[in-house]
Amino acid sequence: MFKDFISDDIAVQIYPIISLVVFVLFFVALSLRAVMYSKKELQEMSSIPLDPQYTQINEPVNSQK
Amino acid sequence: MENQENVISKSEVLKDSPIPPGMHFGELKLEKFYYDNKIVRDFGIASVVWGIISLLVGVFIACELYWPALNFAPFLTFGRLRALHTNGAIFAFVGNMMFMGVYYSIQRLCKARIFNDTLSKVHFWGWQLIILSAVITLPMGITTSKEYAELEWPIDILITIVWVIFAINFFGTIARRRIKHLYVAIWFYIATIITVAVLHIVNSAEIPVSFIKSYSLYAGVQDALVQWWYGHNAVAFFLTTPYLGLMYYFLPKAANRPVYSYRLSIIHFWSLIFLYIWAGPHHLLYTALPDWAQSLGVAFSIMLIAPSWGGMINGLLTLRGAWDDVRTNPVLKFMVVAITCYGMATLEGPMHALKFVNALSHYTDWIPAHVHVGTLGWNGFLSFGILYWMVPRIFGTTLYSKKMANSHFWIGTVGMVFWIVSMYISGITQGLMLQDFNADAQLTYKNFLETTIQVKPMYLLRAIGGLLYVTGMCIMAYNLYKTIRQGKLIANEPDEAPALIRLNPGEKNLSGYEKHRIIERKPALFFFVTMVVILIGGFVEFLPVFTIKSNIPTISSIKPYTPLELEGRNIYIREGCYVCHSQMIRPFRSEVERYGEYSKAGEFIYDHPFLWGSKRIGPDLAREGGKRPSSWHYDHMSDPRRVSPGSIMPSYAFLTKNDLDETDTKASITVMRKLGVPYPYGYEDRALDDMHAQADTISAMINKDLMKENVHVAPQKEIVALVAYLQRLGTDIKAATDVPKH
Repeated sequence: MFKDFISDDIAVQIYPIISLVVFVLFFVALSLRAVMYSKKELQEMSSIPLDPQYTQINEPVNSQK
Repeated sequence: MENQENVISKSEVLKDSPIPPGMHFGELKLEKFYYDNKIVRDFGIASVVWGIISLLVGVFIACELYWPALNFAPFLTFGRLRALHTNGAIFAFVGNMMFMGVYYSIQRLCKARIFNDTLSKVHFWGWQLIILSAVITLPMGITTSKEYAELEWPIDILITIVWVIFAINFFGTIARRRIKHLYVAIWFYIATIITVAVLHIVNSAEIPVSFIKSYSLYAGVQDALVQWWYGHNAVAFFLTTPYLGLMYYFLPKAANRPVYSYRLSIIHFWSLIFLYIWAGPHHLLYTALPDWAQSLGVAFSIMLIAPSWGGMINGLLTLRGAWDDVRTNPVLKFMVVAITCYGMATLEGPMHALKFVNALSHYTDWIPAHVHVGTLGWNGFLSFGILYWMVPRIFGTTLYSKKMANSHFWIGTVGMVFWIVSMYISGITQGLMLQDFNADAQLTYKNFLETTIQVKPMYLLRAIGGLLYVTGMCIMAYNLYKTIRQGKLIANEPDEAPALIRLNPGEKNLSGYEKHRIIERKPALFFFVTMVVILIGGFVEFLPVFTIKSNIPTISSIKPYTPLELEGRNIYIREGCYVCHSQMIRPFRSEVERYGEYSKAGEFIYDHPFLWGSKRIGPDLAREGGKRPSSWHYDHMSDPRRVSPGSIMPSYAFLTKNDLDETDTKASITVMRKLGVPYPYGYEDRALDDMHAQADTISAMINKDLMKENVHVAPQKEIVALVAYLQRLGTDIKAATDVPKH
């Protein structure tokens, strides 16, 4: 509907391509970063809220019940 | 609070717990410190009190739609109070709850007391002052009209100051942390702080006319794009990201097990903040916004399902092995429903962003239904779960009544179902009726009012649902009050942890953790990367729309508003007419038949702010000008139900009595010229004369038409200005043809 009046605008055609490239690069980098974490690191990090004594490993968590 | 240091030996430490990576062996000292629970309590109480008030206002305005007589005073009209409800629910209820949760969790996740107690207090009272300002100004009709950003410029400045204070306190705490790694919840908090600041500053750019009045820096299409970039991301970064942070902290605490997948949480975080910022244009589908921007909004909305559901799945699977507890533990019950509602809302949102669904759902009650799945379900229920878990802990006691908490859960859930289901029915029914054509290719329901009357019973069901939900909150307030009474606030909760040892540049880490220095720099790095990520989407969408200004087809007949019309527009904004009436005709046959020629981008170039609206409780007004005599508008405003039996519009009889305030007319013209509206230099000096002349013409016309009814309206009354504005709407592009103008 409004394509006509923006079609001659600078670089409008390049926007979808830039978007796609940014999008793909971002997610490739992100996925690599996530995969590169070791299991131990992930366990340490995920237990931060639970662990007042700094135990870094996933020991069985005591049940409150 | 002063730290007390206890030096312990290496062997002692190793015996009890492994040393965190990066610690220097032999230098490990345990520092004793105290968490500030007082600020946590204060924000918690504020959230519950404001939450109940905001939702009661919601129930009241829901009732107004069923019983319009409840709009009996100007400051109680739906148009003015709706903003109070939304601002209250978002910034007072959820805002205070967010601060409560952040202050509680950041201290524990960083093993440090909050940075500065005085800043905490200034933050707390500053935020309450902002809310109080909203409570006073919004019912007075002091508003910018931009949804969820209605507060006027002095309050905008106050919000900025308080937000910066919060940021200093937050990042100061991180700087003092005793745990090297920033837990994922903190990432979400960081994203919230940065993005809300950016959104608020960009969207609130305005030029003051007086202390209580300003005009948006942007006009028309650009203003709409900025507003919905803000509006959408206010949902994302005020109602979602901080609450995801809270979920990642409080859910593992309540379930007593770590989050299901930390790897998933990393992907969840980055993809969510990256994608969310692009999706704003889905609020403007089929409008005069350029098509490519709409498509971009749709595409990113669909992609948003992935990270959103990643978060939901991560939350729900955290409860693996703990589902037995969910049956008995009210905290987990609330949290499970909250996360489920998050999943529902984040699937429904992208579905609404599909153009063919949006064609039906937009402007209808389906949208508030969707929004309330998020606010009542996700924000509300997660808040309640957190409160039931946290309050007994900071008061060193147990919950007063588990039974009451369970009752709250069921009453709240039933209330939510009433609210949401009734609005689904209402929205879809009204949407379909408005699109319907009969066998003669005529609109089946020519009068918008027919559709309103059809769905009106649903408004009552919604009010009942809201009332049930608030009742549940009152039960919770009582339960928490009794809990507080039976315990005693642990104002300074002791804890201890080894200090985080910082390395100088170039210094080798004795323990061989080479990555440590990078990790230590993470908050700054995080700040920077997050900022870049959230800005990408904004720039890609904004730059073309702002640079194509010259490419918005100029419509030569579009002229600036006359001074009287501008004053009428100010009244339209003050009374919140845009809350129920859109000014944006979409290019559908049903809309063009009903309202007239579809809206063009070039029509709005002088509209500071844009007034497209987001909901049609009444009909669109984009082409209202010249459709009816001015006397009809006078009668309709004075008593809507006499003119349109069954109408649910408030009576605006007070506009026929109030004199128009001309104090700021000149300043308005000057400010508009600064904004690019082509009023000639010096026109402000003639503006009042022109205004009076136009008012004389309109009032004379009304008086002539209504002579039989003994009506005499003086030209200086507010109603005259409003009628002038309404009669102008949409007439410019028809100016060359046949439309009479008053």
